[in-house]
Amino acid sequence: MKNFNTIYANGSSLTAGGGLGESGVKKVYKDLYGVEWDNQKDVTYPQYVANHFKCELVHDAQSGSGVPRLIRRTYEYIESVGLEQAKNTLFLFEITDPIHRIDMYCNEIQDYMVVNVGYKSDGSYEFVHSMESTYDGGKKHNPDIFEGKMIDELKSHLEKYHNPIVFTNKFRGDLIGLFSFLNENNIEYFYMFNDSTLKLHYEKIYDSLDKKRNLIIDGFMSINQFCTFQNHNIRTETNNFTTDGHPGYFGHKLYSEKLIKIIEQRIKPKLWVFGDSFTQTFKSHFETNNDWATKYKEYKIKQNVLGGSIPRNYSEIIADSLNVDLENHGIGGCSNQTIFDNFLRCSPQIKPNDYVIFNWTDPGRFRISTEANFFKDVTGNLIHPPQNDDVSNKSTSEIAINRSTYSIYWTEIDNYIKIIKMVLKNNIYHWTWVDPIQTLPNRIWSKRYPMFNIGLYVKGDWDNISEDHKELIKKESEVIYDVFENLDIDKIRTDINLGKKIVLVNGDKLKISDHETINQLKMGFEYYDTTNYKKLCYDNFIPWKRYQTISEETNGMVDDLHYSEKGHMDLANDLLIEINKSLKFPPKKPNSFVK
Amino acid sequence: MGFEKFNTIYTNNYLHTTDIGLKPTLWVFGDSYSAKSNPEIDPSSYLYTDDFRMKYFKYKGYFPKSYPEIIAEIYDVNLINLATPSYSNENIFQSFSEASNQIKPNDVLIFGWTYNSRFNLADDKNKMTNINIMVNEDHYIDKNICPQTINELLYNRQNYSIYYKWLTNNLKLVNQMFNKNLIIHLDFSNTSNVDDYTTEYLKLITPFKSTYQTIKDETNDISFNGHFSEKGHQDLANDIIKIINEKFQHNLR
Repeated sequence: MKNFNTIYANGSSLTAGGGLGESGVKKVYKDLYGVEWDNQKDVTYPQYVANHFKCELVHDAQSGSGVPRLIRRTYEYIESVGLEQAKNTLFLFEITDPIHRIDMYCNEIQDYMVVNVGYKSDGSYEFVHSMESTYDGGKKHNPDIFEGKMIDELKSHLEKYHNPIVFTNKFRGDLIGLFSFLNENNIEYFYMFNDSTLKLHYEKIYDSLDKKRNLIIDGFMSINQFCTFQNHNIRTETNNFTTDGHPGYFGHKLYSEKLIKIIEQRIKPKLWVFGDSFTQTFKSHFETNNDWATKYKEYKIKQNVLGGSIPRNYSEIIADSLNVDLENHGIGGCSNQTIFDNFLRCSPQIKPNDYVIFNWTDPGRFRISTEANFFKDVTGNLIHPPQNDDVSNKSTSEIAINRSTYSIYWTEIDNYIKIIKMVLKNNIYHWTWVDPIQTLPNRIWSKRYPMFNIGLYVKGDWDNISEDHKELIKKESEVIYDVFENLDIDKIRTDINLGKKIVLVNGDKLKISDHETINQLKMGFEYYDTTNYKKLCYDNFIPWKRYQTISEETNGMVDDLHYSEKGHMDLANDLLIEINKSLKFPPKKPNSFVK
Repeated sequence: MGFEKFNTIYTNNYLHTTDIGLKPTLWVFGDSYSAKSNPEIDPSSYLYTDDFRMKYFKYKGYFPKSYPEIIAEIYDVNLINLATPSYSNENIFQSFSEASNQIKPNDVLIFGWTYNSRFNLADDKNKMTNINIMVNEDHYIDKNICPQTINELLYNRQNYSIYYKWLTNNLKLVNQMFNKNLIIHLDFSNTSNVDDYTTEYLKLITPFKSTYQTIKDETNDISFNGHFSEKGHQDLANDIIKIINEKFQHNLR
């Protein structure tokens, strides 16, 4: 399972198949091993990796080039395809020291060119060589342009305005900048460093980056080391036909085979699920031997549908469908606080391409400390023994009822979701089994208020308040004033003095001066919040459905409201629809970027 | 227009724009110890006379600045103070959660954590009520909640340090989410170090002097509780400024 459709590779001749394009070399390979190719890039490790992952390959490595061109071209590629497609691209970088590899723009050819320089021991230039920067097989410009006059001009320019040490130092920061940009945008990339010059002064950053990004294969830092020390450069593979030390045909192949395994291991997403008993697997329920699980297991055996296999719950079905490993953190009877805590504990291990599903539970559940100083979740069920002798079942039950009755507690989940979005950014899905209907309390006046000189001030637009909430307010009040329609302050005063239960609506639409008029009544108004926070919270979830329960499947033989095997299957399908929506690659814009 | 003049106008405009865009914000989350000095309470509310800041205003004749206001002025940064009297640690964390997507990388965050025993219950108007202290038989929140329930919960939260583990997880999360920001966690509940949970919590707390002059000390009026006086806030602000300066220097090293 991958979440990219393109591989972008950049590097030097070590990645570009340097030496493998020479006709003499190609002939030796054909004679010795019967292998042949047209374009040397077709037999390099990026091509093999792309073939394996069935991806389009943008092979942008170029002989002679280094980090300066790599940084520029990577940004150009991202600009060319757009940020969204860049997120569907896996970037492979071979990082070389820039000291001999200058990226320079030439007005004459209106293009960049690769400028390679050699230094004498006194720091002066031994040679300067230029060539075009972007070609794929053929040549864009007449090679003569890069000889003679241009070389003299380049040498003169470099002698005056170039310092190799300063130039190298600049690219330390530029490279960190590129990696930070990719990290910030959740773009997947891996790198190999031919040497560690560019890591100097940024060791701490690389200590953490390397763990995720650095490709070390069989202990070798780069393809160059891998092939040189294992007799897989062109020289050894062609039995000394040439002195060329670039990776050979078999070197690229062997390297790619190992590289593919490492990439697969690094990018393979996991499915993380956090929740309560609805997320626990049937297997774990059956193992606990609790009442409903035992009866359901017996029912399934009688129906002869178990046949030795245990029904899969939604998380297992999704993990199988996505072909990913499953991390199931479902805990029966737990509260949302525990669900969030479990997520916090696991969050450092969650990768950007992992899938994370949250099964939020009834906010009526909460947790208190046991005598042993452990948290124990409270479901509010009176049949459970007390979690702590000093907190009676009656007390926990009262709290649970309070938490289930008022929708304000759904803001807790809403805030957890906000934090999760900030921590994880991608591939997060939320659902709940809790019925979306919010039962309203049966009154709006509180014993705390004296029954006179107090009114309720209903927040929000009266027209937008739900009908059942309006009915409750109407039933509970003696007079309702639409103060936006008619602010009859004398009548309100009279009713207050008569001790009536009065309610003001549409006050939010009033001008400040009208509010000042109401304040003159010297009456303590209490705000009444009709916001259905539960409904607002459900906007974060996949559309709620009533899935088949065990009780329904067994026609009441097993009286339990957990989802049945079919219920889990339907839930899994609905979640997979959402997951697939976000997996769909956006249509790619045609681009002329080098293949 | 000469080049020099253009340069001056451009620079002024540029500085103005940069100043607005980059000016850091001091975010403050906490309870009454960190709340803004002027509560801006509607005169019709019972809090207009009950709030400790209004009482102190009557004594002083003005609203003395609280420590966040002093710090924001010294550093010339924007101030967003979301600290609210009676807030529980859950409230403080929620106010942070709601604001978290507006925090910029150069902002400074101060958290004034409070007593872990405090918690919240919904009242019968679907609003969160803060539970701070043991209540008597007359206390009413909702018809289903009796005072004994509240007291049992408070007792449980006061007596077990596991609640510090919960709080510590939240502090760690804040630090992880905003690891580029300067964050100061203060503890106004004088938590004692009793076991591993409190030790872990206190490791994340910036130590500061626990005794500052209170309004009660200043006014000799026992009806005031332990909130800091004008001098108390000034001294606390000075101590926090020292901490900020040290942290900035440390970050620059």
